[in-house]
Amino acid sequence: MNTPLLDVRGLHLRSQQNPAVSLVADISFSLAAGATLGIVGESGSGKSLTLRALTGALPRGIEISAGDIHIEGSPIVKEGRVINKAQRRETAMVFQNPMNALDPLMQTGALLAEIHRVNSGDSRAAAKERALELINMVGIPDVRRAATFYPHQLSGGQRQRIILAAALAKNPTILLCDEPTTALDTVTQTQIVQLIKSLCRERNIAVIFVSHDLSVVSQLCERICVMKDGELIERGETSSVLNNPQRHYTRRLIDAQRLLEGDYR
Amino acid sequence: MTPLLSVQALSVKYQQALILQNINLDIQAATITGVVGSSGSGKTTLARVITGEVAYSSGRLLWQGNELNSSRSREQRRQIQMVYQDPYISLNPRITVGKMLAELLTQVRGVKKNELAREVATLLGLVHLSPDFIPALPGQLSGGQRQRVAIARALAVNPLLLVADEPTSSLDVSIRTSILDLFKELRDSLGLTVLFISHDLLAVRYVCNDIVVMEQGECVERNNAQHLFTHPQSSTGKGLISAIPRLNFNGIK
Repeated sequence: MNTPLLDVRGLHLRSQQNPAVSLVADISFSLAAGATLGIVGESGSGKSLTLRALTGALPRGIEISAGDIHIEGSPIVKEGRVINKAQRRETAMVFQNPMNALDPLMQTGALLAEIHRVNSGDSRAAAKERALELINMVGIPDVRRAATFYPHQLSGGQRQRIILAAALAKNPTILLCDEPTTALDTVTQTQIVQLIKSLCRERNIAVIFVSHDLSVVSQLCERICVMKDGELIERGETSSVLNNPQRHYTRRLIDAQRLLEGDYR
Repeated sequence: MTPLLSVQALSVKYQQALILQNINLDIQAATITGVVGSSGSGKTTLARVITGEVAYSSGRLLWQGNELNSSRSREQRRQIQMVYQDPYISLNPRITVGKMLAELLTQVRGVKKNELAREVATLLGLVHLSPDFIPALPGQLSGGQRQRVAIARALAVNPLLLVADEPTSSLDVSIRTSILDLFKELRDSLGLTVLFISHDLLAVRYVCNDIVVMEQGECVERNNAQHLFTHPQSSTGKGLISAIPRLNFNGIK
């Protein structure tokens, strides 16, 4: 069998203040190149922490206490210890609230150019060109003008597009998305999901999409994991989990969404 | 029947920009009216004009037939209450649930000290929280429980109209429906009127009698909630409805 792009085995996360309690317990999953995986669950289920553990962006005071993480076969976490930070460059993160994730004092073009330059070592001029390409790629019109905008001059949807461009500027093989569409209206939400889908497909980038919105996840992800109270309680192909959930909790999530959708389909 | 609230040719200007343009909207008592639209369409501004947080530049705002202007009476302010999107922010983290409600009951409703415990329990009962929550601080509650407390706090002053701005957006799906059910129940049992502002169209359809669609500061459609989904009249309404993400049972191709 081929080595998976990402492999997580027995991951445990705990708070340094209260090491006896696992915030995330015994999570294992793997991801093939170009695959799409959704992680759903309610607030506090540990889905965001799991995602952050992959990229080394855990909140202060929370640490990996056990488990192994491999990216492209190289260990980045071994027996609970972070041993290789460089490999994390393969991952890039898209956050829920784009306003908090962008530097308010930096023009979008300059921000993207810097990310590209740091990751590629290209010249400033080449990085500037690449920034314009990235803005164009995420579907923002009037690229040259948009490159001069500060975050507050962009709408919520455009900010999220810039965040996506910033993530792609790293040339990642895995895109980690933490509720990227929760703060957006339905029209913009659908546009962003479609954009993530098409850009990652074209570039064979794998996606992990964390959300409490089961519908959005089912539109994007081939496979799905359900988390509850820090544990991964159900997983499988999205269609089989939705059509034939094994756990009571998963059924409840599906039923709540079906109730809202009603007979209108 | 005189509507509880009547918005007539109302506009809001900010510097040169028209934020709301010629809004006409009647709201009957004991109904839930939804306001939908994309970000920046003016939903929240409309809510704030109604609660008196934002002044309008032209048009009229009639409450039970009387003009509501910038100098509202104490009584008028009591009758219109607000429920906010994020219960994590809207509740004071240092005040217990019991104290928060008791203060309003004594000061606004003049409830006597010896009746206070019972009244607080009744109020919590309305939002399906047990009296066990009286000594709790907001930090000890889940998101859904906090939003119930925020609703109880609004109800403490016996309002006629609740203006709810994205009250379920920060909640998980399974909790969301229970809060929506609560709004319906309060409408049916107390005759409460609700203006429900949200970009979550499925939630709006589930809870509302009528829905108003907004686009760039204008009201482009008003329709029966079920009818809007089957026969949207405006292109904005059609666009919003076709973009709703649904459960996809077929897998990704």
